[in-house]
Amino acid sequence: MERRAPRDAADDRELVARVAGGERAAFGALVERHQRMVFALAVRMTGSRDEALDVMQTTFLNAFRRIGEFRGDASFKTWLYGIALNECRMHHRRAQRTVALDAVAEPVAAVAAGDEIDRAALARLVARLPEKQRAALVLRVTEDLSFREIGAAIGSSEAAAKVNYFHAVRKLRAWVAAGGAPAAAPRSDRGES
Amino acid sequence: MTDRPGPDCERADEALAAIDRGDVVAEPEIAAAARHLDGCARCSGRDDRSTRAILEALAQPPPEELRADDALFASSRERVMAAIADERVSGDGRRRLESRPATLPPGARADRGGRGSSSTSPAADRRDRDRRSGASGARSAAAAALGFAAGVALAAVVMTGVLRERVRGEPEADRIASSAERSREPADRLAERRARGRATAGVGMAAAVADDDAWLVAGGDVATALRAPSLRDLSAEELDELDRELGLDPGRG
Repeated sequence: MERRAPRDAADDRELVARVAGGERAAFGALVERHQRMVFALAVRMTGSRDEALDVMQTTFLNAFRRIGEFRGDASFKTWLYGIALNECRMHHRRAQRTVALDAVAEPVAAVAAGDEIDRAALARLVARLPEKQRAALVLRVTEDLSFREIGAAIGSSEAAAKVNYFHAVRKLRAWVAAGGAPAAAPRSDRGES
Repeated sequence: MTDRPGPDCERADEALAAIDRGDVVAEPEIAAAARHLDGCARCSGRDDRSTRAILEALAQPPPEELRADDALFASSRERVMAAIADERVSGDGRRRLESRPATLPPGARADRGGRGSSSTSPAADRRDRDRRSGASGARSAAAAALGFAAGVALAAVVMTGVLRERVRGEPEADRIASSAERSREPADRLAERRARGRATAGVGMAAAVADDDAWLVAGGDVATALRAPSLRDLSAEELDELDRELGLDPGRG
């Protein structure tokens, strides 16, 4: 779990200013510094390494194009997470368009054997969560972001970020207790605050 | 999970159920649910063994097949840097627009394609005549109104272009190229586009005002655009076109 010091954030701002000033090489430093973090988020959001690599690349491309919009209200990392989550959403929508209309999500079964959680099955359950709940859960558990930061990344209030996180946890707990998720409707934007 | 649910637990459950149904939940309800979920051991599940096991499993690194190695990150980084080699930073565009003078120095004229800019042109003669006689009358008043509308339309086009670039990341070069293409378009399409521009001017302005940053970005262009359509700055062709639009005889002095 990556914990970034305030010094890193200051460095990020300096690099951003240099990129905005036309120094492209400085953007390479930003990519190098944050690409693992963006990939880690994308892989948990998409459940696919190839998709996560695509998302990572388009995230940085868009970040470069929009670097002038970064005002420093939030950290560069949080701003980047917001772009990455949006890319995940776009990627998901594009993928949905290629799926047959009659395709129905299969039920996810047998996630727990005693106290052991089957991580692969758990990842599939996470993929069933509504988008903002999934994002709040991933950013909280794997990236250790505060609820304020999560709210900034997902475009919600701090309270809504908190509710999305606890909602996700409660759903997963219920699904694990039930031995899996129902053959529910495909992922949608419903069920998020 | 051994505690019995209290009224606040039920209220939070209700809020979550409403969210699942897709109902709109008011922000105060969200805030109340957030406060409760954060503090209630039963609802947060913080003391629950199953919840802890789930969170621990989620915190583990992803399985091997979902990981990327250093070589993959390096090649991805190279691809990103190659892709941005031809890109413009939106910050560049912003500075370029902001560095444009909002007003030109006294005596200078905006370059609008070189038409009618010569002091010896018929347009210059007509401008002199207009100035001497002050015979602007209805045409001047209408021209001012039309000029203002055209200026607003132009400003809207500039601003929506800036907004489009910011939202879609459309490269500046593409926008410039399409402007150059438009300058060669047939008259009927030009007229149609002008009408469309006038119709959308209000929308463009509203969008720009909603985005104060875009408003600042476009500030210099707005000033230039609003200043340009003065009767004195119009070329002979533009004056004739204006006359036709007003139903006057083209070439009337």
